[in-house]
Amino acid sequence: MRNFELIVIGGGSAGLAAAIEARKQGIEDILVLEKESELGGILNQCIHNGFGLHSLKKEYSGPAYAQVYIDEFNQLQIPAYLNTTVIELSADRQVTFMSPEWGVETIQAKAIILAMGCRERTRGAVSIPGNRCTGVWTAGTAQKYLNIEGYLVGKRIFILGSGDIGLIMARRLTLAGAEVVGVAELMPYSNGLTRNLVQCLYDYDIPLYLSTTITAIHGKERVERITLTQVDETRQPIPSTSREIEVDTVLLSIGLIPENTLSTQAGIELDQRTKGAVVDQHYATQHEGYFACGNVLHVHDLVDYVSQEGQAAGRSAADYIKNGNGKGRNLSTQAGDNVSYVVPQKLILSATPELIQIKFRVKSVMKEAEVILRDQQGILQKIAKSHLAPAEMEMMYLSPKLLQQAQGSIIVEVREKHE
Amino acid sequence: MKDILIIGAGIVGSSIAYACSKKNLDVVLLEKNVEAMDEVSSANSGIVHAGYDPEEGTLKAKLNLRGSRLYPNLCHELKVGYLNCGAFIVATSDEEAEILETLRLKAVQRDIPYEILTKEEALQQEPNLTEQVISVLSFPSTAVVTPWEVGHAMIETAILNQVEFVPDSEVLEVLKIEGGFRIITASDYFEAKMIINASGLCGDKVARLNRSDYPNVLSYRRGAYDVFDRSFKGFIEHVIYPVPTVLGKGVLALVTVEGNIMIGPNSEVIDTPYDTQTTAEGLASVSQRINKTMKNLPVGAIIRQFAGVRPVPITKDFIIEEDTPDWINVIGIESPGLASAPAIAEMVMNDFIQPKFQANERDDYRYRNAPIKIMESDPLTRAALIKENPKYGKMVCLCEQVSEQEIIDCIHRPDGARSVKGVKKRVRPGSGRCQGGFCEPEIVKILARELKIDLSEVVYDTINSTMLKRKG
Repeated sequence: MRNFELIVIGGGSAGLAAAIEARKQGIEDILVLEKESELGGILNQCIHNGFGLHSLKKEYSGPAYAQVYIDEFNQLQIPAYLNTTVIELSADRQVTFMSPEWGVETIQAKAIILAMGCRERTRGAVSIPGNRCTGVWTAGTAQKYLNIEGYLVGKRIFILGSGDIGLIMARRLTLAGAEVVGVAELMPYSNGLTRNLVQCLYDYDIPLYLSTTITAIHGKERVERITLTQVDETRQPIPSTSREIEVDTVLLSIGLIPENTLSTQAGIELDQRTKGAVVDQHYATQHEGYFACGNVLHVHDLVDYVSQEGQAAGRSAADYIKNGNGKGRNLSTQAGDNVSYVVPQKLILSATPELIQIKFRVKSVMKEAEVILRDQQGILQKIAKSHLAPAEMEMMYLSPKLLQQAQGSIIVEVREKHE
Repeated sequence: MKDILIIGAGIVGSSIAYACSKKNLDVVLLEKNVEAMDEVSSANSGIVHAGYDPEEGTLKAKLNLRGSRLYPNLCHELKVGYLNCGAFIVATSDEEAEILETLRLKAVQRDIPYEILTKEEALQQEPNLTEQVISVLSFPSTAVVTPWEVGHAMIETAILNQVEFVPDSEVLEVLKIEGGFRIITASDYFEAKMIINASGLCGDKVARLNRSDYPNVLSYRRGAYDVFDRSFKGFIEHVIYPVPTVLGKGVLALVTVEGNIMIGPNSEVIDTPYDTQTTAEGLASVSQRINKTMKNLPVGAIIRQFAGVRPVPITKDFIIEEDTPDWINVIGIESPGLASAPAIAEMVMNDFIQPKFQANERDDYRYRNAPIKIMESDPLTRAALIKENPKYGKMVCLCEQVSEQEIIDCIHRPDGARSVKGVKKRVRPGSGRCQGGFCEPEIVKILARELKIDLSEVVYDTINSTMLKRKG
């Protein structure tokens, strides 16, 4: 069996950044496995602008952003197997892959970085009754049809969910000649970034219906119409508000789920909140030698942060390959009031103090709020935030000094400030 | 002139075509849709019931029992999945335990093997049964198949043995001619000495094309199902039925041949035969009624919901009759139609076809080769296959682990796939947790390439279900 120092599963934004950083940290023996015929992952179909403002200080399209990393990856001469799908992952870091060029092979590595990205939630996950005719797609699938294959999925389109891909596709389809009749969002606030709301809906006069959902999809062979219904505070449809709208296509932009089928197979512990692996601040999972980063760990809002996370995971994996696991006192984090998740879930306080980054999302839109960190003894830190929204991933740094005093579980909670 | 023309390539028509293909008969099988097995046969529980349930003296009782005994060998010769999982009928009250006793007596009478389990024994074998279980009547002979896999395999084998299969052929008109019938479709006509009407949901409508005063004998019932992510394989091992009532078998839980948990169906009376929509009430009824027998269902792991319509005969029994000379109706085949299908074909052969044709067995009969499943091949075979044809190494569907060449194969086999759903039903891409989100564009491209059509001409399932429009 061939042995590698590091195997990276997935050659998208997280995997590329991880492999590049590991190489820069002196790891020579790296192999990246990518299921598609080229590197770059989902960025290849995201032809809109807006990538890279934070990490590269310049605005790129998705493919151009990916190319920055692919160029560096190629310069560093890191090997990648394309068209290569991992079909089995074992607890002892054996990776079985399959590809037209390489056949089926099982290889092993000292460290493995999981960078498989995420998948879209489907109609089954939200239970929309009605017919199962054609004309219903996830927004990302419609994006692939349009941007990669050059085909439109329909002429009169309604979008369910105000996630960013749905908003981007509303504009893209409008520009491609389709009519986007509207976007419905179950929640009383948008799930997309504000800039996407403005640039993709408002600028094109596409209505956004908040607290509204599709309660049925009708059509014999192709979608013919939908039933649109407002929901109450408990998100239950109010039948008296139902109305029918004629459309030929429904796009779903109702959330993303980290793609952890392989991680589960390897026995890696997942967090039920993020649907990604439980990791420490070094992006090490609870399973020796396995690291995770990017959307397979938790769904990010911006690719810039995916790249940064990939880089951090690459650095940690290199350190692990060279020096083994870091030792230290263990703490954990916990999502408290109004917080839907916290990453990392585990903290290891080493002898050499370091600044620890934590990431979290809030459960609802909040203004003039404060983020409170506390342990069993009491409040450790408070940070004021003028605006918080579930669509945005929040980041903050914990000082080592603060953590030295902390015990057990650090709870992250958010409260609106009361005068 | 053909000997026999069969209208409808559902499980009944396919079974009859398959039975005919073993004899020296000249047979044509017509299907209205783009794909066979696309209506009643594509949306049911897929259970080969053991045969204890139907009323004594009915065709259902006779044919279910016979059919369930024919299935193991049938699936073996077709090289299709047959999961002999067994069934539990779960009693949760003293009254229900009494009904179990009457079912047990029927099983004794019909020589169906059974076992009575106590609550403890039942929960030990199926820990996710409701705690309210009092006792269980277990039928080890109950099995599960994938209905369309069985049907496509029968059609394919029939084609290999000279049966002509013509999809896209809705029967519009029937003319009585010298020595037989002329059957007119939108684009063609066919002549045959004997007609077998196995047209499912439009069974009595087609019967009226032959005899205009044929009565309305069908009503329609719709049942909805939930399908769960395969990662919950092992959640149950048996088909789990509640105790049957006058309304039917009730909402059951099962594991499909491929390992998905499935629950359903409810039973709604509907007016029109093709209304396969799911409704909020129907789906709620399924998820609520399953609690009678089960606990701990992973409700967050539902990947698909669908509904199927079945033709319900007003006679409450299958209608298998020679309505006018050489016109055979095989209609009203509701549950246990799938379980009965091979026995229905046998009966049609013995009672109607052979008395007229006295056909001999076909010599040099050809069975089909099982399709290559790359992930189920042993490592050496797999390596050899990929070396010879690298497309066996290109994974298209990650959820169900299906390679590009397996998809190409299913398009080019006899009775090959011609639609996205046809590919999905044959080799499963799109049946997994992403529901085709990743692989559907690939499937569309492969179909277009292999069928030599444009992407905009690829259909999802039916003839007008094109998916894409050229940009600009």
